Amino acid sequence: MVDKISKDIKENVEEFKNTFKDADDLVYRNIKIGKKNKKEACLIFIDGMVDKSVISDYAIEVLFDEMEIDESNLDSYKTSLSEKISEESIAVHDVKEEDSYDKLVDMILAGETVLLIDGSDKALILSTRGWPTRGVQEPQTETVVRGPRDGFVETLRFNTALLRRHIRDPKLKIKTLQVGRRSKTDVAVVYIEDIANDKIVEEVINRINKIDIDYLPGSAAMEALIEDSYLSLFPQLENTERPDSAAASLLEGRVVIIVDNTPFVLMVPATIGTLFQSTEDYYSRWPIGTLVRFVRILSAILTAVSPALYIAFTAYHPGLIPTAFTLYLAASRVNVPFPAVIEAFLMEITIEILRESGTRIAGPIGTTIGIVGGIIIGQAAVEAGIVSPLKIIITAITTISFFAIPSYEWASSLRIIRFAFMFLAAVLGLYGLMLGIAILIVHLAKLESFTVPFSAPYSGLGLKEGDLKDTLVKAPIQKLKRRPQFTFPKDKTRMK
Amino acid sequence: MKKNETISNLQIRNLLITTVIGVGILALPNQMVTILDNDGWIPIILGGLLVIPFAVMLDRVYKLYPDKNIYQIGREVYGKLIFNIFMIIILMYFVIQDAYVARIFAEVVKAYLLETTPTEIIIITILLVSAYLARCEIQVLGRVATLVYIILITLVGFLVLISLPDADPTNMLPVFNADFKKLPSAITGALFSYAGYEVVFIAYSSSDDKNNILKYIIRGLLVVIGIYLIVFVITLSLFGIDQIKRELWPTIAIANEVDLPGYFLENLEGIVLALWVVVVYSTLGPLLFAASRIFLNIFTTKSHDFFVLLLIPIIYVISILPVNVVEVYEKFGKVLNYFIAVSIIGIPAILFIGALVKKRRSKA
Amino acid sequence: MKKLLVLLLISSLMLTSGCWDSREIEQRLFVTAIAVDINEEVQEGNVNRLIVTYKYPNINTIGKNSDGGHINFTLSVPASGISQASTAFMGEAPFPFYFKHLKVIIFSKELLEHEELVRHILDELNRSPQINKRARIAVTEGKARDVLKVTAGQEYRTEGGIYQVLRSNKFTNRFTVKSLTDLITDFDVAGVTIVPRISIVSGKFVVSGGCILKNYKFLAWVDQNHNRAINIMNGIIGLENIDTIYNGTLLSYAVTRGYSRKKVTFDDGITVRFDIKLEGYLQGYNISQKNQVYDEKTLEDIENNIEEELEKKILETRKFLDEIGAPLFGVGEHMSKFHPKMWKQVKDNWQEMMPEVKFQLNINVNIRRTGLTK
Repeated sequence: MVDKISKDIKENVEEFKNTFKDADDLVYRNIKIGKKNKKEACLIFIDGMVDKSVISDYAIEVLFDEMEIDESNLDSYKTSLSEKISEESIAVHDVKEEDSYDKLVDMILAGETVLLIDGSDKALILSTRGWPTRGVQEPQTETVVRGPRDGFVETLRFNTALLRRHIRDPKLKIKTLQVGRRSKTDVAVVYIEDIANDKIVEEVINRINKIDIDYLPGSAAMEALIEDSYLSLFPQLENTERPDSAAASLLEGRVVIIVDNTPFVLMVPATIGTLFQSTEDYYSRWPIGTLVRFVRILSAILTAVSPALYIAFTAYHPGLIPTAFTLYLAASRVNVPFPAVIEAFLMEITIEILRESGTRIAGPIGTTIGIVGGIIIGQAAVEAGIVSPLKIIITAITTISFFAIPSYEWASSLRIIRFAFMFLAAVLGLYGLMLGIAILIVHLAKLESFTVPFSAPYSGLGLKEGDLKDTLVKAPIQKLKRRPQFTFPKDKTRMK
Repeated sequence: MKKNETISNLQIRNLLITTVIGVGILALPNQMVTILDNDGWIPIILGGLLVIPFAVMLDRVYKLYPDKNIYQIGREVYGKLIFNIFMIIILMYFVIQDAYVARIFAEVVKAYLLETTPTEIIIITILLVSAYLARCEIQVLGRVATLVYIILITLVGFLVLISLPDADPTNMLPVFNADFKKLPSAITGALFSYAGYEVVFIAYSSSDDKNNILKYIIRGLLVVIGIYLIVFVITLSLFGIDQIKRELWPTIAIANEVDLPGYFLENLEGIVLALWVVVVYSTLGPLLFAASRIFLNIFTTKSHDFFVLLLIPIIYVISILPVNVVEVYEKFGKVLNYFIAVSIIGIPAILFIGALVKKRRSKA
Repeated sequence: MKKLLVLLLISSLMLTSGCWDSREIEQRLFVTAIAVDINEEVQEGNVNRLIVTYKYPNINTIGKNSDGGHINFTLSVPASGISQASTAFMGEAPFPFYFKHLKVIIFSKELLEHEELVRHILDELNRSPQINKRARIAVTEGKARDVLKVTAGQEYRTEGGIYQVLRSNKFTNRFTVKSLTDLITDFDVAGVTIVPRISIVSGKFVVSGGCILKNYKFLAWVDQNHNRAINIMNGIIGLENIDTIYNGTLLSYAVTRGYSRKKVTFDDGITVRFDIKLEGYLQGYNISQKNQVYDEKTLEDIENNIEEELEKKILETRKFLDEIGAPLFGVGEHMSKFHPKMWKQVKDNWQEMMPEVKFQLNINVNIRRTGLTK
């Protein structure tokens, strides 16, 4: 591999052909330019990754229509051949000069076209990217009743454009990095310069640069590679498919990471407070927003703790529930052959199996079918007397609560915790469950997301500055004059 | 990020509150009423106020030696050897206190929740979980304290709510009728319920706003006094003076007393106990943390994780020493009281006097 | 590595443990009522002086899959204490007993004549963490276990009909609701207490009137009227009817609310002033062309009539209580709280001093409404 291309076009083309041997989708278009002194030139691009009309109409055709290339003139003007051609003879909207061979290879692989000119030691890179991509659609996992319906797509540049439409501020910075030795995936780090805290931005960029992997499959892998504790059950970054969410988080002082080939962008740092927020809150009136946030917190608690509570109360402490309820519970379990613990585990595992099989069917609709089917099976089980009806109801509540939580990863962690709690409750009753909760509290307090404590604002950071106004409740927008403190933003006021 | 190594003053305050309020709150009404009848609330307030001067003393010491933590100051003032001995005494205090709290906690859990489970299992499990907390840094303790503080306030509010329908405030009377000669012994009894606040001294040097720490510490102490008072008032109103003298743990018995079947509220002690497990846990953790930090400073190692694990078997053995509940409160409690006196009064006073003397000597 | 060790430790702990306290909910018997009688066959000084009866629901009869059998079962056994009876039942009952849902405890009058037994039983109930302290107490003249047996076959609720009656807090004027803690507290404070009386009348149970206990022993029965007077003087006023004769006809007055306050003054001996205020409406009089109650003068007249009647009844009750030596009007308690120094002086002689105390009854009856007609 050579370092730089030579002036001899035949050598160069030979080099390229060697590198891309057996890559039959490469096209080598030889043309001659100049009216009198025909110079040889070659356009190299990959079929399928370029917008072919740009090449034909704005490169080849224009080059054919060309003026005189007079080398003697060139020296006196002190311009190079490639520069002259790029500035005067090519109609493509973006043209760069490059002489590094590796870069040229990368550019071809990125969908650009390389124009080699005989006698010039610099090649031209024509911006011709174009490939099959889907249009902007509403994201399926984050729908709102009232609000914009656009979502990110798989192309980095389109995504950055969607972001820029929301924030037309020159201080919006987009830094592009490349991750992955073989995938060379483009990654963009987006932040607003005079709001985001420099340390956080620096930290993000450092961590991304440290990644050494051959293929970056998407933002989930990115998440795992840069987060503080990848072993923890809990996500420390948030992700979204919606440009408006991403834009809002930029304005809170967070950093957005866009990964090419995936519509899910990452938002950093994330805390418990932010994981309970959803875009829907900002598009409805504030009392509803507040109510819904309480419902979410309640759901989170229910989904983690309900089966464990059931086990604790039926097997260990029937004295801790009101009498009428106790007797009813006992009656409903009279002929059930399994102990309460086994019953609980059985039902939970069944639901997990149903959920997993529901995922094979298309989209979230499949999951719902799975759950409903589960409830029907549960009904049959009750009729047959294998499980008690109350347990079915509890399982149903647990599962439905799961879906009330806006962040899917967060809810999934709670699923796992649910099993741990069930186990603890099975061994030590209510005491065991509370031990589990104590461990959970400590773990959440220990967790940090890019040096911001994960349990903010409930654990101190931001309490004084009123972060609770946008996490625990949804205050009317007039009250949210300051930015949330957990990101240590530089510019603290939003509104006067 | 700089912010990360510091703990906010609010968190320090919450750390103080949650560490102090542990098992003392259960028996406090009973102990106060036994000595002073209906005026048991007086020593509660006075005991709490009595702690404040010591906190002020320690704040002054810190101001004299800014940016040094307590071990460095102590060593400067008294020399390494003497101070190390002193620290070992304090270490023993933390260890014994931890064992005491763990043991009482296990007794309560056994009485109300798990009758046949062996006490040893309960103690081991809570100690292990506390170890998980103690191995973290002080910031994490501050965060946990803030989260637990919410639970504590919920618990107290819950107790107040459920006891309101049945409470008879006239049970508080007569006031100022007790034998005031017993007041000093009552105050000392109450003073011991404020033990545990010393952990904030360790947090001092990591605070992000050293000038205002004292304000928050005092606020924290006032909150503790407030909570103790509220519990005292509602238990006395609910039970009347004679029954309180009999009840071992009146605070939990409140939940036992409530019976509003029309509103589906019966047998609520489960909720109370469940919340209270977390409150005690937030007492045990910081105590263990403090003890292991002392080890760290004596042996000047990098981190204190190892010492936490080392201390657990020791604490476990001490906590199963007393044979029955009476021994726990009587003998064990008395031993502990001496240590508490040393710690609450001793550390600040000794350091303060020592620092003053040194300053004066260096000026002369 | 360290994490692994800790994890291993904890999990081995969990897995080797025997889940000591775990017991399936349908494998427990929830005792809802207990009856305590004297065991006649055993002499003093021996154990097993009691016959203890447990009543527990038949859970097969709850809910949809009810098999229509007896709603409650009872089991009796000689024992020396309430919780110990459960050991004695071990050979009979399929599952262990669980006392946290205990609702009712019935003592027989016979039992209440043995003071040391009563003290023993009350101490056991107070000490035990397993017994629900809000259980209601009642006393019966005959055998307590008969009461439970009678009700066991006929109930329509698993908690027991007795409990439903005893817990009602709106109509408490014919008997005084007492829970276990109330009982113990009363003994502490004043040495006397009053407990509802339950009897069996033609195969069903009836709660009416009360039983006065003093110093852990039985003292006397009171009928409904006395009980009502006692309740009113103590401030327990609920929905109630008061009947008087007015103008030769029966008049019914229904009380909806009321309060009663005491004030003690010390000039020339102890004087207690009771301020009793009742609110209510006219319930029934006499339908005719002549009798109209719709004017103020008449209403006032009626009110005075009721007040006199009430005062008469209350003083009767007072006489009765003084005779048997049971200061139940709460005067002593009031004094101990509001006039502690005075109380210290008279505390020990309270028994003798009680009849000397002057009562000033200030009863104020208000008829607020006359119903739908004039």
